[in-house]
Amino acid sequence: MPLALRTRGLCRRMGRHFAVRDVSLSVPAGAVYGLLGPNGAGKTTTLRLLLDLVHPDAGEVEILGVDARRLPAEARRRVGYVPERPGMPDWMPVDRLLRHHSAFYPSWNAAYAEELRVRMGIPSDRAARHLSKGQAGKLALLLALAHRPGLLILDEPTDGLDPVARRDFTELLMEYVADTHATVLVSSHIIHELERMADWIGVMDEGAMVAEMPLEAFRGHIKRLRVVPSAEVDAAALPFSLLSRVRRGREELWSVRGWEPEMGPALGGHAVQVREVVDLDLEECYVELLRNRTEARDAAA
Amino acid sequence: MLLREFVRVDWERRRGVLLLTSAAFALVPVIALALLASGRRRADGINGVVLSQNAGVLLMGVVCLGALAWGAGTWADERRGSWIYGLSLPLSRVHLFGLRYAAGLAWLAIPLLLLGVSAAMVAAAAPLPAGVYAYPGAFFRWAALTSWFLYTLMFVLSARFERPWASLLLTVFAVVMVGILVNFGVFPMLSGLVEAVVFGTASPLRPLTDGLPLFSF
Repeated sequence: MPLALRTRGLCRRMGRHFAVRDVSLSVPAGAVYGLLGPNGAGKTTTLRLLLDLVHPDAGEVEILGVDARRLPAEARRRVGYVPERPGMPDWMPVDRLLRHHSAFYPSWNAAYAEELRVRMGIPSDRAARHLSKGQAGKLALLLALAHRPGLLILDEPTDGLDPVARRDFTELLMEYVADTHATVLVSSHIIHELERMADWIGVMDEGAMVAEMPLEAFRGHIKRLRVVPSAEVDAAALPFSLLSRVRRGREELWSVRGWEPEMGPALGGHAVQVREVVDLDLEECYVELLRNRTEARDAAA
Repeated sequence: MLLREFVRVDWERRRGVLLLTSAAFALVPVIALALLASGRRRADGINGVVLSQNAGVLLMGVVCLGALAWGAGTWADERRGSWIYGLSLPLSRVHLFGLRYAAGLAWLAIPLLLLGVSAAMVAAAAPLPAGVYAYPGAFFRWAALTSWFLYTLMFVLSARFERPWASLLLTVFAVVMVGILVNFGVFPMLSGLVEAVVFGTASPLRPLTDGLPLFSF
């Protein structure tokens, strides 16, 4: 599987603490990779490390097969980036900003940029700092797309946008991906949105990567079971990780990680009868995974 | 191509500062000579000389301030955007710094040129007071060298520090303290080394620590 992006053992300290600790991440070429994690998990720092905006204390990053620290300008021109907060020179009117940005990208497609601008409803003569938040977000996407990059790195691009602007943004992005087969790495808090776009999922927590797999595998991996235990269950002996356990009369609701369909009958040997296996959506899987980590941390503390 | 874009952006963003600096630089020789002449006319004694020297120092301050302000404004866009936009452009850091530096320097050449032309015109038009023997060549050279040095200093400080003016004051304070230590002969070995580096013949601070012939009577 060719990789568009790869990191190994990436570390970055912020003061005494690790913002990013031993992060290994692989984004297959052509994939839409959703990076999830709570606030402060290290997602933004990881994306900045990928683009060499900040230097790692340890580890390596490869973008499009080249060491990110030695990435030549031609390779960097094949990357589009939407930062968490657009830091463009916001005193420029939009049309001037587009001209300025195009100077750095020989492959800039002015007609496509104009088409996007009109579609996004961004006024050309208004200074970027006077745009609404939704318009500024769309403008950042426009700047990232108009040179037709093969790799897009988006850092919470729809954060703070209203639902309509968010939907427009996602549609534009998906249209672009369908046209160009670009690889996308997108971090977001809006999990439902990510679920519609992503085919790979990475989950970060406390600066570390805690899960990375195709979306379907991630969803298939974490399930909620409605079970009836007939005796005390030894959680350590179960063939999967028990993430959480809620009693409801005789029944219990288990959230489990590492579930495989053939495990159902085998649970009889553990004095557990499985009544129902419930599929979880991405958000529920994510919450169960992180809740378990938080509880384990609290218990350790 | 890219340099042209950086030069154009600099003009669009801070032409006000540039025009103000250009006007100030162009006026400096005119005002300097007028003050010198009036100072020497008003008194034959030391007071007139001191007055004209102080006025000259003030006008040198204008040149320094203009160059410092120009250097300090270089990274305003990057600072506002927390450096994210600038560093995410498909340029190496060295290339980005080089382009920004060159664009700023190209514009700084204009006020300096105006200063040179103005100095030459003033020197040609008015009889120079006795004692002013280095006008306009040495004055222009001093202004060009000092502006270049101060622009570079502030360019670096504003790239590195959030408050470049504060860091400049700290740097000046440090230089003064070093000067005091050197003068008092504290830590003789260290003092000798610092003296050579800061005040030695090859020191980059030489244009500032040297006197200006224009005002040497």
